[in-house]
This record gives sequence, C-alpha cells and structure tokens, in this order.
Amino acid sequence: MALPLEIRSGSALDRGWRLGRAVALVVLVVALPYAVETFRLGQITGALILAVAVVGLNLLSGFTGQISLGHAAFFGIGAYTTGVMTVTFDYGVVPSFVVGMAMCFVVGVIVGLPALRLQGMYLALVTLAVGVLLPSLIRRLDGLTGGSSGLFGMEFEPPDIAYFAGRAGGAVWIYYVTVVALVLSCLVVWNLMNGRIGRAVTALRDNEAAAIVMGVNRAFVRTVVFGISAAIAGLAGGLFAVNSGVLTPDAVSLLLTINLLVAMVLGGRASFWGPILGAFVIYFVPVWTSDVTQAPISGVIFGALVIALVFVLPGGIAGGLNALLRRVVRIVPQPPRRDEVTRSSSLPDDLSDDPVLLAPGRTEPEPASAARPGSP
Amino acid sequence: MDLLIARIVDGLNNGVIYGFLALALVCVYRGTKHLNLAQGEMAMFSAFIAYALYAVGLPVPVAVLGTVLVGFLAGGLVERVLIRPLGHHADYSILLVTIGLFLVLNAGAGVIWGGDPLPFPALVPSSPEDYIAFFGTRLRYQPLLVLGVLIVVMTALFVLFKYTRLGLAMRATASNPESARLLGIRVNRINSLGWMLAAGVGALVGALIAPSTTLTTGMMFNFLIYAAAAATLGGFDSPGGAVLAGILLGIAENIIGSYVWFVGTDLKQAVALVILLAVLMIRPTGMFGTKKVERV
Amino acid sequence: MSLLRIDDMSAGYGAGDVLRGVTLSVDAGEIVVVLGANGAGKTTLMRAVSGMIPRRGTVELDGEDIARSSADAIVRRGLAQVPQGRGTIVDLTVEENLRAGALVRKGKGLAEDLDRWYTTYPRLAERRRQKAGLLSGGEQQMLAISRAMMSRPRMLLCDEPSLGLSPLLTEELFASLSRINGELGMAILVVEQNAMIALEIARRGYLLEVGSLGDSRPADDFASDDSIRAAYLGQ
Repeated sequence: MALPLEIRSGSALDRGWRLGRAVALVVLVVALPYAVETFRLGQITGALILAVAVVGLNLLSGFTGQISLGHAAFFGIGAYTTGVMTVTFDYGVVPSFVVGMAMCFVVGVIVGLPALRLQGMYLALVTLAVGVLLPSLIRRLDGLTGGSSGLFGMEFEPPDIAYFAGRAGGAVWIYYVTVVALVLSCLVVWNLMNGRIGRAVTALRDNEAAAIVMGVNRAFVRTVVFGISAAIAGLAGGLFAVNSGVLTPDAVSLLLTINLLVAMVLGGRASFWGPILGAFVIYFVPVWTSDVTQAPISGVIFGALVIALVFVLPGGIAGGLNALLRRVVRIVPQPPRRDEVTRSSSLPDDLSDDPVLLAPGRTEPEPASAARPGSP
Repeated sequence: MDLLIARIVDGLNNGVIYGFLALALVCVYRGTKHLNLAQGEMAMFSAFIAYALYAVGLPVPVAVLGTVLVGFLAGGLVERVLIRPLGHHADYSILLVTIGLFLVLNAGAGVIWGGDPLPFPALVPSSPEDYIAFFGTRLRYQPLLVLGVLIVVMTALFVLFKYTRLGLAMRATASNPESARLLGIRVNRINSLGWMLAAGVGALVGALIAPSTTLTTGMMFNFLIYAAAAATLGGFDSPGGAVLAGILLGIAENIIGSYVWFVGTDLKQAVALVILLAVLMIRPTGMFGTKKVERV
Repeated sequence: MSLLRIDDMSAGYGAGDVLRGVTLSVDAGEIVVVLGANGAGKTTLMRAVSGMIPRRGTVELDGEDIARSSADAIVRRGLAQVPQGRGTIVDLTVEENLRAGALVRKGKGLAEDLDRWYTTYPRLAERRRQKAGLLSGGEQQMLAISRAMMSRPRMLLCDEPSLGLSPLLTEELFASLSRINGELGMAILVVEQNAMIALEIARRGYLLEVGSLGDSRPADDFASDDSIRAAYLGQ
C-alpha cells in the first residue's frame, strides 16, 4: 500500500479520522488516572499546569510575535494571589483564581502599554524587568507573602464524593481541574485566533504599518491580547499554588520564564498543540536526564537538547509531527474546504480569507503552511 | 557629604561591571540585532578558564590574557556554528540557542569545576588594608583596576570604530547591513567579529571581577540582567552610552537603596529595572540611542 | 566581448520566479537601459544580477562566471550597484559613506577620488561632515552614485535613480551619469520607469514586461516606436 494515504477532506473517512482522534484523546485523558501511579499523575498535572502557562505565553509571543521574558511574573501574581487569599484570608480557591486572573489581566494591560511604543528587544527587556522585579518584590513584602521562606498550606479540597476521596483522589481531582483549565484556555486562544482579533494580530505581526493602514486598532488589540495572555499565565500560577502547596520566590524566577519560552518554541510557536507538547518535554526531560545522570551533567544534556532541537526541528515538535503525519495520511482538500492538518495549526492559511491583510511581504513563512494542498 | 561620596564609590563597583558587560552585549547587538542571553555565562566560563590556566602554573596576567584570547576565538566559533546557520531573521531560534548555550555553559562549568567557589588571585593588592583614602571613603584597588581597564577598552574600541577601515566597515554594517553588502563588505565576517569582540570583552570582565565576586557558576547571572538594562538605557547601538548607563545605574541603585527606606537591600537591584521601565516609557530608544525613522 | 553577459537567467523570492529566462548584455563603455512598468521585475533583475537574491542561469562579468558569487564578492569583482531607495547609510557622515564605498579596493588615490566626486557633486562637498540621513532625496542619490563609484568599479548598476526626484533633479542626475560614462568610459546598466529621460542617454534599451525581457533595440528605435511611446513615454 502506497504512503501517504490520501483522504478527501469532508469525506466519511476524514470525519472518521477526526472523530477517532478526538475519541482517542478523551479516552487517554479519562483513563490516565487509572493507568498511572499517583506520583506519576502528580507529575503529569505539573506538566499540564506548565502547559496552561505556555498556552498563555503562546498567545502573546507565538501569535503576536512579541517576545516576553517576563511571563513568570504573571504566573507568580496568579500563584501568590491564590496563596495569600486562601491561606491568609481564607477565601475559596475558585474566587482566588478569578481575582488572580483579573489582577494579571490588569498588570498585563499595563505592561502591554509600553509595547505600543517599543519594538523587539526593547519590549523583551521591559518584560524581563517585570519578570525580575516580582521575586524581589515578593521577598520585600514578606509580611504578606512569607518572603524567602515561602508560603505554605494552599490546597484545593475536592468535592465530597467517593471518587475523589483520599490522597490519591485529591491528585485525581487536581488533575481534572487542570485538564478543564487547559481546555478552557485553549478554547479562548483558539476562538480569539480564529476570529477578527486573530486576523488583526497576524496582520500586525507580519506588517504593522500595513495593518494599521487597513484599520487595525493596534492599541486595543495589543493590550487586550497582552492582558488575556497574562490572565491565562495567572490561572496556571493559581493551579500551581494549590497543586504544590508551597510557594517561594524562586519558583517564579527568570528560570520559569526561560522554561516557558523554551517549551513554546520547542513545541511549535503559534500552533495549537505545540504549547502542550512543549510543556511536557520541558517538564519531563529534566526529570529524565536527572534520572540517568548526576545534577550538573543533566543540565548540560538539557541545554544541548534545546540547541539540537532548534536545528533538527525548526518548526517545533508540532511542526515535526505534522510533517511526519503527512507522510502517512494526507488529507486532500475539496476545493471550498480547508485542509484539516493546516487548519489546526496555522494562521497564515486562515488569512487567505482576507487577501487585503495578507498582501504585504511576509518574510518568514510558518512551517505549517508548507502543507500546500495538492503538492506531490 | 562624605557619606554620599562613599555611596557613589560603592555604586561604582557594580556599575563598572554592568557597563563592561553591557559593552559586550552591544558588540553583538549592533551587527545582528540579537541579544545574547548567554553573554554572562560565556564570561563566567572564561573566568573559569583563566582559573584553569592559573592553576597549571601560568602567572595571573598571562592567564587573564589567555582567557581573553580563548574567549575571542570561542565567540567566533559560536557565531559561525550556532548562530549564522539559523539565518538572521530567526529571532526566536537564536534566542533559544543562546538560552541553550546558557544552560550548557552554566551546568558545564559545574561539571568541570564543581559547585564550590574557587579562589582566584587578584591582579592588585586587595587585603583590607589596601585602599586609597578619598574624602573619608576607601577607594579599593580592585574596582579601580576594573574601571581603568574599562576605560582602556572603551578607548581602544572608539579608535577602532572611528579611525580604522575595519571600524568603518563595522559601523556601516551596523547601520545598514544590506547597503554594506552592496559595498562589498563581508557582512558575515563583520558579524562574526562582533561576537568575537563581545566574547573577548566578556572574558576580560569575568577574569577581572572573579577575585571580588569569587568564582562560582552563578557569578554573572544577575550582572547580565542589569547589563541588559544598561545596554537598553544607553541605546543598544551606542557602546559609549551603554558603558555610561551601566555606571550610572550602579551608582543610582546604591544611592536609592541607601536613602529610600522601602527599597533597602532587598529591592536595591530592582531600582535599575524601575529606572529602565521609566526611561523606556519616555524615550523608547534609550537615553543615547539613535532614533530609527521607518519609511513606509 | 560583452562586459556583462546574462543568459537565460531566472530568479524570484521563494514562491515562484519573478524573472523568467532573461538574456541581456552590456558592452564596455555603453549605457544600456531596461524599461519597465511598476511590478515588471526591474528591481528583481537588479538584485539578481548583484547576487542579493538567488538566481539560475549564466551571469558573467568580463568573461568570469559570477552566477554563484555572493553579493559582496560581486562588488569586489568590480560590479557596483546603486540600489533602489539609495541605500544611504544614515548613521555615517557623507564622507564616511564615500570612504565606505572605497573599502573594497586597496591602494592609493582615496583623496583624489573623494575630490573627484566632490567636484562632480558640489552639494556633497558642502555637507561632507553631516550625517547622510539628513540629506535630501536628490543628494542621497548623488551620494549613492558617488559611493558606488568610489570602489572604482568596472561597471555600474543603477536601480531607478529617478525615484522620488523632481523632473529637474532627474535631468541633472542623468546628465551626470552620462558624463561618468563619457569621461571614465564607465559601462552603466540602468533600470528606469522614466523611459524618456533614460533613452536620452542610453545607447540601447530592453523592455521588461512581467518578468520577460524583450530583445535589445537601439535607443532611438524605442523613442520612435508608437506603441512604446504610448505605453512608456506618456505620449
């Protein structure tokens, strides 16, 4: 049988293929708590929390193309808001999440304001400044935050049903909460990016001047996207607080920002599945390298892997998987419909609806758009 | 008054280091418009190399010059092998590679030389009794040496940029790479040279400050952030501006840290970042940077 | 033998070819003009010849194959370019721009060359210490030509020198190109939308239409061709 298999988009086979993937995903998510030990499930939850933050970062830095070196700060604001509200002031976890996200949104919009005037490296450094400021501020405000010695005792009580009873049940509960948060974050990003804002964002990224001439409201789009991106990172922070139960300034340091960025780019920038894949790699590779070697050597291996992946998989893991998948199954579009593989991971093709916004010179084609329909 | 002078002198200690490392960042940025996040770790690694050279019996000044040479060559190698193949528009890939390099060098130094601080001898007398009295404060030789070398390096770079054919080629490339190519300038080599100079300058600062900060894998981490702030304030295309901004930042953080109670020692270094934010809100290209006019 | 010989050259920007099978030659000492409307591929032709974009086919300068040479190597071999938009190095002074133009050649005569171009374009001499970014459009175009000539090239490429200039300035500029050709025997290939003025100084011309180049014809011949007059000379 010759590969790739060709499936016509919209045909029964294509619908089956999509349905099959969706079912497989749901089965995987539901079965996971039964299939792995509590300890391993906790790690998976940790990776999923990281994934939520990366989804938020990807909205800003992947789709908008604004490099943020400060997303750990938003993660930290969300985490400490949840921590302080639940432990010190005895509020519920869900209201704390909401307040934390709102604070992140506001701070995100404020940080996004200079982004209107600043480009590239300068913006990156403003966000870097915010990212480095937060841990110092947490240490300084030790009366509220516990300072360097940390904040303890956050937890998210599961509802009183047998399924979530006991220590293992608690882990399953947090796991499901995180899955729901991740799905919601993805839906928000997905909807934003496939709507008017998404087109405006892509147009701004590719040719700002032309986009503004076309009537894109840069101030509104940039600041709101910044705010939403920050709020999603804040949600991840809140989850982190209740999942780990311990918060220290070091947990939200520049190292976290670096991890988030690496996860985003490794996973596949501006793609849908990329952030999740990248987050799992970033979470589990250090676990794996420190399993097989001593501490400093594992750092060397991790760094070398980061460099190697940039060269081997320039489109990120999502791009690489897509390319691999296309060798096995190719979905041939029926003229009015779009290729499903492309659709799930690429905005440029989406823009083809909108030739006016696409017109001015793109310099760096997205890897996913290489999936040109009908090419041999 | 004397106390104020003492604060200024103290601030100079860090300020000189910020300025020096900012100079290295600018050397890379001018050509390729990339921020090398591994610049500090390259300097740290170089300091360890100086230590290794000293440990095999070379005199300290020779060890310092040796690591500068190694750094110079390694900078070129990094540019050639890890940066240039990615192309000059791959901002994210290059950012990621510098992060990877950061991790490799940081952990690698730990693997080779262990996690404990190593002693590195100073080039100048630095026991508690060695100082020059100055308006009731103590000017120590070590920071004076760093400042002196910084001035020498700055002057050398100024002469290179302003009065040599190579410098003219470098400035032309920094301002308009495409035009520079059409004048027959080998732009790739110029960018390579930028990385080499940066790594050489970084190696020098690493080896010079190792005696006062002690030699550890984390010695450069904070400095890099403030150097980046200094480079930004100075305007990323202006070497003199970056150095001056670095020195001013060091002094400002020390004075504000001493006189504003809320800041104290915890937030002292954060002052630099608040200044950065404030300046960028007012002047998006830094204090000394040139404004780029974008024609549409 | 031709100084510049291009045979069956194709080039473009990734997605597809903008130029298809272009054949063109320039003899020593002659001015050749390529006429074309907006979007015909004039600048692409220039960038392809000078090695700024990848190209396929034959490109020879004085019999040497330069089809695979990099842009900077081509300049060092003596093919200088005045890029579209003038390529001013805005942060350098006027004089530094000129000196940067002379970086590729070794040897003496720098002062004489500076003198020559300051005499040719006295307005540059007046502004020699100013940042080049502060010059007017016409002055920047003069600077671009002088800068290219500072490398003492064997041949000069000019990409739409009239762009954005007043008719009077354009006239002046083309007159100076004609002088450079006459006094130094410099071969010049110029692409231009302003056909009328370009044909005045050129010996031969080509017509570039959506990526395809026609056959070369004497400049006078173009000027008397009714369809050309209608399309490119506005008459």
